[in-house]
Formats: sequence, C-alpha cells, structure tokens
Amino acid sequence: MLSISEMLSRTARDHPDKEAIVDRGLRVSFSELAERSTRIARFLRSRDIEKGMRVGIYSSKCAAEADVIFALAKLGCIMVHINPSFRDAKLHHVIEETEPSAFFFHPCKSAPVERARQRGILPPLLICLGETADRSGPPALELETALEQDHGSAWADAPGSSEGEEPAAILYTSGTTASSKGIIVTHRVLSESTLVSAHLLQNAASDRLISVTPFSFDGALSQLFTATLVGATLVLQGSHFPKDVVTTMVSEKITGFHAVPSFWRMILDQYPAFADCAFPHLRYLSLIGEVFPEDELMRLKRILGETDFYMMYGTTEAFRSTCLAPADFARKPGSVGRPLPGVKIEIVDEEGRSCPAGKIGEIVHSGAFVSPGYWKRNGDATFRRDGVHTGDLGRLDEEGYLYFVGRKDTMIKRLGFQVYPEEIEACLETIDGVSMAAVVCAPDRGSGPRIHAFLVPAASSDLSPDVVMRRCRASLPHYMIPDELAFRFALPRTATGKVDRSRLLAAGEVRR
Amino acid sequence: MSVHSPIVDTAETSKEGTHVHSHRVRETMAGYIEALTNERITDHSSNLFEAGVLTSLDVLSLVAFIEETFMLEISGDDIDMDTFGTIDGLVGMVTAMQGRHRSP
Repeated sequence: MLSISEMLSRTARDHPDKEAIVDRGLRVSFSELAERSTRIARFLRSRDIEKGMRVGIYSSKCAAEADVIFALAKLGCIMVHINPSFRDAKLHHVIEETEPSAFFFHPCKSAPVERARQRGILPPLLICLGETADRSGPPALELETALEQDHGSAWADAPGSSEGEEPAAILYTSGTTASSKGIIVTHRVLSESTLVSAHLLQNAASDRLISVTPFSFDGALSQLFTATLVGATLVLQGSHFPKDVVTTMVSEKITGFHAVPSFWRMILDQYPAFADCAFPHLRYLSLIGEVFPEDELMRLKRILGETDFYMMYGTTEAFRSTCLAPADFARKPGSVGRPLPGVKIEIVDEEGRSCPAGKIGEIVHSGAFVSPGYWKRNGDATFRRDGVHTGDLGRLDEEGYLYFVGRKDTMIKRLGFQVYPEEIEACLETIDGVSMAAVVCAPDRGSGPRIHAFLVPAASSDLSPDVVMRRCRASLPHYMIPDELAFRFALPRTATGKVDRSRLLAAGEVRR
Repeated sequence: MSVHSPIVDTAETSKEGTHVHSHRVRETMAGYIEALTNERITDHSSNLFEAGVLTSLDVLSLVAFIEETFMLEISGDDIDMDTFGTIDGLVGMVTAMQGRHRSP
C-alpha cells in the first residue's frame, strides 16, 4: 500500500519545485510541503504527540492546513478536521467526542477556540496557523515559532504509521449537533481511493485543481491527495462569491473542478456573466452529492462546451461508490454511473430484499472504501454485514447504472403514497420566476406530515403564491401539493453549498 | 425587512465633508451587520466570512440593505471577498460608488 506520506515524499523527489498549493499570493512547492510537514511532525513528536492520538484542525482554507495534514499522516496521528462553519455547540461536540491531544486553529477562529478552552475541553498544546495578534484569543504557540524550535534531526516515519486498517482521519458530518457522527477513514481507504480517483479522472502533473470546500469533506481531502500523488497543483479558493471563483478559474488556469450541483446552480443563478466567460483550460468537472436538475445541468454543459463531466455518487461512510464516465454522459442522462473497481452496489427494499432493475430502494455499498464505523458509536445500523446502508434512495437500470433519487429520511409517506421532496422541488423550479426551491416535510400532530415549500424568486419577478399553487395543482399529484409556501431571499447552505434542509426545519422556519 | 431612511450624500463635497460622510457610512454598515448577526464587531478589517460571522445567506440581505439605504445598484461584479468580506471593504465600495454618482 502506498501511504499518503509516501505519495508526498515521492512527488517531492520527482517534482521538487513544482507548485503544490496556491493560497492567494502564497505558492508552496512540493519540496517545501514535504519539508514543512516533516518539521511539524518532528515538533509534535518532541511534545509527545504520538501515533493514534487525535489532533484537531479548525481553520478557514489556508496553505498551512496541508502542512499539518501531511505532518499528521507522517506521525500516524488521527486527523480531526472540523468544518469551519461549525458554531460553538458542534465544535464542542466534536472536541468532546474525539479528545484531541493537540489543536491547530486559524487566527480568525480565535474567539470560538478561546470559548472552547474556557470550557476546559481543549488540550494545553494549542497551535495558531497565523499570528496571535488578537489579545482576546487563547494562549497559543504560533506555527512559525514552533518550526523555529525544530533543529532538523533526521526524520523517520513513526513505526507502522501506514498500517492500512488503522484510522487516519475522523470526519464529522453536518446535521444536528446530537446526530453529528464522526466517520472513521482508514489509511487504506485514503490510499486506495486516491489511486482510483486519479486513474478515473486521468489526473496528471499538468492538472491545476481548485479546492472550494473545507478539508473536513472527503471530496476536498481526496483532491488534495490525488493532486499530491500525480504532482498536480491544488489552488485553494476560500471565497464562494461567483466573481471570485470565476476570476480564480481564469487566472490560475484551472483544469479540474469538484463541487456539488448547488454550487454550480448558485453560479448560474447569481452570475449571468458566467455564460460569456471562456475556460479553455477546464478539462473536467466532477459533480457529487445531489440530484442536478436536468435543464440546468444541460445549460452548464452547453456553456462549458469542451469540458468533460463526471457524475459521481458517494458517501463519507463509503468514500467513493460510482462514477459516470464522460463517454456515457449523453447516453445515460441523470445517472451517476457504474460502481468503481472493487465496489458492489445493491438496491434493497424495506425488508432488506434486493430490488430488481428500475425499482427504487435504499442504496447499499459493499466492498472497497468502506469505513470501519463511527467514532465511539459501535453498532450503528448504517454499518451492517451486507455493507453500508447509505440512507440514500436510488435505482439501477438494466445495465447496472445507478440513478440517485434522494435521501431516505426526506422521503415521507403521505396518504399511503411515497413523496420525494426532490420531485416537488423539480416541479417548482420549472415555474417562471422561481429561481430555487427547497421542500421539507415536517411531521405534524394530528393531520400527518405537512409539505413546506421555500421559494427564492428570480430577480425582478412578480411571483405570487396563487400562480405557484395553480401550477402545483396542474402538474403534481394531490398528495405532493405543498401545504405551505414561503418566499425567501436565499436558502441556508452547508459548507459545500448544498441546501441545508435540517436548518430549514430547525430554525423555527417550520412550525411543528 | 424594516424600512431605513436613505442616507444620500448631496452637498458634502469638500474633503472634510467626505470624511464625515464615510464615517456615517461606516456607522450605518457596522450597525446593520451587528444587528443582523448579533455579534459585536471591533475589527473592521477582519474577514467576517472566514470568522463565520457572516454566511452566504446574509449576502442578499446585505445587498438589499445597501441598495435601499444608499440608493445604489449592486451587480454580481461588485460582489467579491475583498469588498464584502470586511466592513472597511463595504464602506470603501459605498463611498466610491457615491463618488461616481456625484461626478459629472
């Protein structure tokens, strides 16, 4: 098995001066990345941080994160990268559950880190990835000071640091605080998924990949490691403002872009100038995580002309599941493709029986890339003998191509019918003047579940609830017609850019 | 959204007047963002999105507020992190746009 730290050592030897990470004006080469990560690892070891210990990272996107991530891989520590959009309650939940022995944070996170420290849940070894100028922040060592203390003795990887089945990272999902679980990712899963992804996407040293999501997401980590494997450049993009994203795509000559459909829908919706931009370097887009409404997907495909589209499916619990190759894009519209090498995908019904082609059921992933489970939560029903029960609904066609339908927990039974919020959203979004729609179903005492639709009107539209309801009645079966409509400026988003349904449900938006 | 009385600079064209005006813009912007986020903002040069004080959900409210309060029109090309990330950036944008409106 080729470990993540071996990938970096090899690339630092073969392409020492090549740009590894671009962080605004800062450009870090592979030899610098290898050297800085070794020095951080040596510093941590001098502070008695050892293999198997958890180390936290809480940061907005910056180059130093990559230094730390590789340092932890070298030491065999378990990385706990905490989504920077987590607020206090979830930050505390993750810290309490993983008990980190050292904690890295960006200076912009000084205030929440100080609040966590005052609760007594943080370790004494706090390292700030920038300057600790803010006096109200926690007492912490600056990373550069820590590196100056390093006197450069020879480095040897921790004994057995790359044993495949041991945890390399714990990644926390979004969702409500109590339900947020830490998914264990092993060294073997990181290594094998990196090799498979790089092969699938034909990544090479000439690639320049843009990284738009925090490293607490498997997709962002996967991109960092595939780029490192092949000697490609990873360009960090902290701002999600469409103008900034487009500017980076052009100026950094981006060749590969991994994002959720909502991200592209936001660009199309908020930045009409995108349609007139040219991206001659953009070799591929990979899309994962949600249903992409077909008309918008085809609009994006038309704008991007020569760019290849890879439609993917995966969960963090099973890292990478399927991929639709660009050659199949036109022939299999709406599909997320065939299982990756070593992966088996099955559709099962409520009783756990295998569904025939065409029938919708839960997607079950077995074989390669499966996590050993959730951190400190043995026996969760997601992980079963027959594989990972993803909680996602899908169907397979006669040729074994997967179609992602939606989340099982958003599906409701109403008047005996199965209702998929995604289908109602797709209908609402065909109405003139509707820019985006999100539908949540909330149980309601007495009268059964109610369907709440949240609409974002297009700019300068005079959309009225009457028009929306007339269209719903005309095109949806009676059990799918929304009970309530609400108009919003924008929809809450997760850090990847997906519509955050749990926040729509939670924020007092929906009366239960 | 509540209705704000528009702050439109009409007569203050002297250097001192511009300074006084930019101070008012700053107070208005900081006041609005503090009310929106329920957080006290001391450093006007720190990035409010990185810190998690503002989220993408707030951008459209912010745009609507600026357009309504200062009677300006903001397009997608005006919205980037350098401008919208900090109070300094927002104040700079508003005063520059108002300056353009004034000049013949």
